[in-house]
Amino acid sequence: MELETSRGNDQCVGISARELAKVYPNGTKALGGVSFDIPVGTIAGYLGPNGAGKTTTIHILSTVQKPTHGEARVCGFDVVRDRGRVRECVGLATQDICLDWLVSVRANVEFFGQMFGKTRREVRLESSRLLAEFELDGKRADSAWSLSGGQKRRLQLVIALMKHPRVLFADEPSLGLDPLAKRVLHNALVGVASSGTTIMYASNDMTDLERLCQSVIFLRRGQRVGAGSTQSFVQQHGGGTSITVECNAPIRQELLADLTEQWGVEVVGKSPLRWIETRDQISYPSIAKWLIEYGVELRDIQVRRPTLEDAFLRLVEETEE
Amino acid sequence: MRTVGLVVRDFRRLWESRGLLIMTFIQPIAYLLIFAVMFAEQFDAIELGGRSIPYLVFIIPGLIALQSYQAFHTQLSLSSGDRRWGILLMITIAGVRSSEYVFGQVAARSILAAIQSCLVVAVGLALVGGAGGYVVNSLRIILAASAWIASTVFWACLGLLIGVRLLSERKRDVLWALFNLPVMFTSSVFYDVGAGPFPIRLASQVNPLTHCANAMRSALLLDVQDAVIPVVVLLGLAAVVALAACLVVRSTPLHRQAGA
Repeated sequence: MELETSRGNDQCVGISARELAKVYPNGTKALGGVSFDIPVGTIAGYLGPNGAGKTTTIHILSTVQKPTHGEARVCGFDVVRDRGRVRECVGLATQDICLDWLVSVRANVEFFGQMFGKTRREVRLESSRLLAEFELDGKRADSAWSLSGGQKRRLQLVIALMKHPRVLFADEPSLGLDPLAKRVLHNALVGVASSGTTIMYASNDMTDLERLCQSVIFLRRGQRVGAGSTQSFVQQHGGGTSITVECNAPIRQELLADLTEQWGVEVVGKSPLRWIETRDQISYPSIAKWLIEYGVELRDIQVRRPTLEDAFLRLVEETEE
Repeated sequence: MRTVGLVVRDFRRLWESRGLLIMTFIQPIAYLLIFAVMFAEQFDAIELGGRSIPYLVFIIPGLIALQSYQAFHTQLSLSSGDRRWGILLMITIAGVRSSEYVFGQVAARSILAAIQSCLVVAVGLALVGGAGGYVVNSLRIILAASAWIASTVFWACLGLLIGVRLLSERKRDVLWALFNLPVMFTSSVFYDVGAGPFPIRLASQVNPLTHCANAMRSALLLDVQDAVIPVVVLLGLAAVVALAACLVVRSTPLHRQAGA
């Protein structure tokens, strides 16, 4: 799935940004003209090194800050001109946890629920469901301050989801979560997205993003340097599949030449034998069979497909150059 | 609904922090008892408006005025916390308007200060042992209540508009330390500031707490006409500061700016 970059059907686009830029009064250039579209009901990963402009983008899209240039629409509403309408339809889970530390989990949920305009009954019903889903129902009476880091982050998401937002901005929501808590979070977010909520998920946890997001947008120094479906993004920037063949004896030089000629591979290491494969239609068993017929005693073959982390690191290196 | 939510939140904070709850209601009584027991023994009476008024009778309206001033410190801390902890950000994104936030906070402060003042009145009258020379009628009560409400609105809004602009706890504490004593002791809460030295008398004229205490005493003890001007001054100040608070909350950056 290729990420939309041209203005298509507005009803299908949950979040749309065009040349979005932000320069702070002290001259710090946080965003330098970022454009993207995120389809309704999908989870889009927003990744980039620290200070790339991820939080600034989320702040602009959720009307916390105004852009200095460009335009953005959330649920079809302009984030500057229709600020009130945008606020009605967005949920925000910020990187810095925003809770009332002086009161209990229950009081936090009830307070923010009321601020979202919900009745006490709606708040009670909704909070019961969400606190149970995020495994916080046993913590209702505990002070927000006494929760662990992961629990605080989950509580913030409970609060953001209580609003039933059409668009959810989650800034590093899995920071400090253990694998079990991450699974709970992922399941909940997939459920939310399947009900039509568009989710913008800013994170540097590549495993999370790869597992969860249909598309990714890569940001570097305030510029979009890559975007697309997660799979195509990894294929495009991940640097190919690494095949490592461990043999019982050293590889002879003529084998390397024949391997290149016969299979068109470019060997990057001899001991162990290693090459990078960027072609889709390649049969590793056929190459292995060919090697055995050539008289090579194979001990192990490792096929490592590129990950989002590989793509991230390569893009960072490329843009550094 | 949202305003009610803001008020409820403040009372839940008190309820869930029992120490704070106890302190909130003990403090005004403690003030009263200290002044009643210690100072009332030292001073026979205070000459005011041609009347000789027992110190205990004199101090009670002052302590009621003082409860309105306590709204300043409470609101300074709470609004500073609301900004630092991102609560202001979250409720703004939730669609809460600046005027709703200000109104909710002022309502919470006023209800709390009213309860504290009622405690002062109840314990004070018990100590005085009757009406104590207070003159009460509808007009006097309306004037005293107007002064007290205007004063509470003024102090709560002032605390709020400074609080939302302060990200640093240290700055907030320094400000409070510099602010508190001069305000309390250049006011006529504890003594007749008119009998004090010229600089104190001058400072008291620009101190809203003086106007509140004077209005309360004039309305409840002295010539009711003398209460009118302080009440008008306080109402004017409250309106200006409440408007300023709404504007300040509205223009306050919700995020921590890069490099800030």
